[in-house]
Amino acid sequence: MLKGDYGKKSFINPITKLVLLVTLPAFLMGGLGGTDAEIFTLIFPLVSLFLLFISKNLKAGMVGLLMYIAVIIAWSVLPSGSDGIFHIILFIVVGIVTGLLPCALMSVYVISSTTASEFITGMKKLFIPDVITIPMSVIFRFFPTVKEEIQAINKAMTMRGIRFGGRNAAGILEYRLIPILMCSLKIGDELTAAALTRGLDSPRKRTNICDTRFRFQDFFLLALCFCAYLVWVLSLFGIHFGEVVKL
Amino acid sequence: MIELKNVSFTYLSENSDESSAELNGSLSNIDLRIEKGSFVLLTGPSGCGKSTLLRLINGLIPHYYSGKLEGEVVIDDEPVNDKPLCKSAEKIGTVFQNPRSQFFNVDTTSELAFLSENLGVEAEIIKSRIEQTAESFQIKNLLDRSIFHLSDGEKQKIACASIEVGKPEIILLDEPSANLDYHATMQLRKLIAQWVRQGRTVIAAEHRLFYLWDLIDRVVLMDDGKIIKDYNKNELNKLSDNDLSELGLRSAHSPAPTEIELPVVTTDDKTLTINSLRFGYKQGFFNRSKVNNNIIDIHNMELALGKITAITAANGEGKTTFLNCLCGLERRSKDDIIINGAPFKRRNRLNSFFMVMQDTNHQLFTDSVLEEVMISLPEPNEDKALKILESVDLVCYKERHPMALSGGQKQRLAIACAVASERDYILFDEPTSGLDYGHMKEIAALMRQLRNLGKTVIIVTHDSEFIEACCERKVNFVSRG
Repeated sequence: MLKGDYGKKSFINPITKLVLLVTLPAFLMGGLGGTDAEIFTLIFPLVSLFLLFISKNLKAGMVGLLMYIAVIIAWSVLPSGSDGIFHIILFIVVGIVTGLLPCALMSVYVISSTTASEFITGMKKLFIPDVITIPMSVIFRFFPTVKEEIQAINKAMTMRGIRFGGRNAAGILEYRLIPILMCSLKIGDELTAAALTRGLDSPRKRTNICDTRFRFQDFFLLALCFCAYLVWVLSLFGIHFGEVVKL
Repeated sequence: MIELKNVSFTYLSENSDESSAELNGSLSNIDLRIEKGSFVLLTGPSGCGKSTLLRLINGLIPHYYSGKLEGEVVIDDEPVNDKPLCKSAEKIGTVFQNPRSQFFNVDTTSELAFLSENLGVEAEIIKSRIEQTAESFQIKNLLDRSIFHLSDGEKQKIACASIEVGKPEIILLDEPSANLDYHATMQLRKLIAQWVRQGRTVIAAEHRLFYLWDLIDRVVLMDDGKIIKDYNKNELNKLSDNDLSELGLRSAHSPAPTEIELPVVTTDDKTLTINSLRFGYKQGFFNRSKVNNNIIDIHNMELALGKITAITAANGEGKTTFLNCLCGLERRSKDDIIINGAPFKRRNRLNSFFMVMQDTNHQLFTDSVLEEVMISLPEPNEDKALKILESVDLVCYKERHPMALSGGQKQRLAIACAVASERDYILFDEPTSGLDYGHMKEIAALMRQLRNLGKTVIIVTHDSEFIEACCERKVNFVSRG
């Protein structure tokens, strides 16, 4: 039962994840390559959706997929000539859903599927120094814990009658900050101490029980990103992908 | 062998974000030799410096917690102060008190591998060690689980296992049982017994003595940063529970909370009746796989009004969720609760129950002790607030920031708020976890004080001594029954 299933093996390598995390916003939001790279603005959102589904993150995947389909239908069904405020709003929504949403979904995928250990190993392979890696990995670990703290604090506030409509409604924001800050500080402090007694500061080369070799899917996705960048670079030199295909 | 040679230590005051119990955890002129393979228990009142002593041994002092250090700590002829922390990590494993904040990874298997990965042990060796540990600690069912879905007892087992994977020679335990129920504590005892049998050096800082008593070779009693008594095995066997309580220590023999004989209700009691109470976490379309064991489904439970009732429950039985439902904090709970023959609706309960949470840091919001009590009063009234503060012995701290109080003082402040709220039902979630004998007695006295004010006090606890000290009724809680 034990052999082979140590840790949930990620579908793709941590390095591939980092490359995707940088590439998606560059093309979807930054608009690299302009019209030449249009084909990639269609492929990348599908990649992020695919990864979410394959990691069984159905909720985020479904939400993303539905929004994406809805927007594409709306965009093609509604007469493009219609003007006025409605058209502008639709234009903004389309921009957000096709640009920002896939990047957000990719972040969700990366955060939910990467163990701290994989992350540290990936960063070390990229020669990123510990002073950046360690705080970042603590932050990853921190979110779910702080979420639990905030839930407990919210309960305490409701219980003590500090709620909308209550006598102390004004304190809703102010009263929340102090305990959140105090609890976060304390937990961060204890976490660091515990990690240090487990050799986090060791200078030796770190090993990893997860499989972090590159597999087919990694090569495929990296190649995809590479192509996107290639199209962009070529377009800078005036060689346009669209025309090349036509020829 | 571990040697402390005339060691004194004071925390720097810039660490003032720490609880003040730690601030006065300083040490003065400690001389201590611990032989290889012995099991030493450090005990004494909160703030006596036992955690500080452990930090000196594992190197967190001076490498992480800074302060003024004199003297020398030597382990196997190597001074700790000059060694980097990762060198100490190879030899010394530490289990901490708080199960929430000692895991660096989000899943259990990565956590078990974490130490060895950091030290660069080869992956294949780590895997086989994890397998061995899972075998000897009987935790195979806990591998590959999310840390957030484990009960506190399971988390502490993983913490023990994670240091075992590194095969440390010296094992330090800093109040490892503080959040554990009786059953989980006994399981922890088994793991510790294994280490003791194998001849590892084990040093535990603990208030609860009963689960370790017959394993211990030696007890070091501390107070105010000094070692005041040092008992060997023979001397220990002569100590009676009376002697222990005179020393301010907890009992060496404690029955399981379920074995304490107290009525659930008597025929004379007026009662609050829970005909049924059901609660399950949302079973949405997308997260059907969510753990089901937190669901609460209870029928026909009676709680005596105007009495102190203990509710005993195992870790992971959902006792905190039950308290939340009872207070009316869980909107989705389906309940049928009767008081004085009439239904007791959630909205009404929300205004009649006050809960003192396990971690009081979650419920102290304001910037002074006095204001904390003032916002709890139905109408602000300073005289009244001061009177309440007097009853819990906190008047002299009225201008203090609540976060600058010690753990015990925070708890008393939360109780003061409960009194100020003038609500009739006061719930406590593990009020004595990690408390020494003296503080436990203090809390017990406060419970009686509340009862005398006519309040109904309901306490979720696993502390047998505390139940014996003040509770009058007892319910054994099972989440489905």
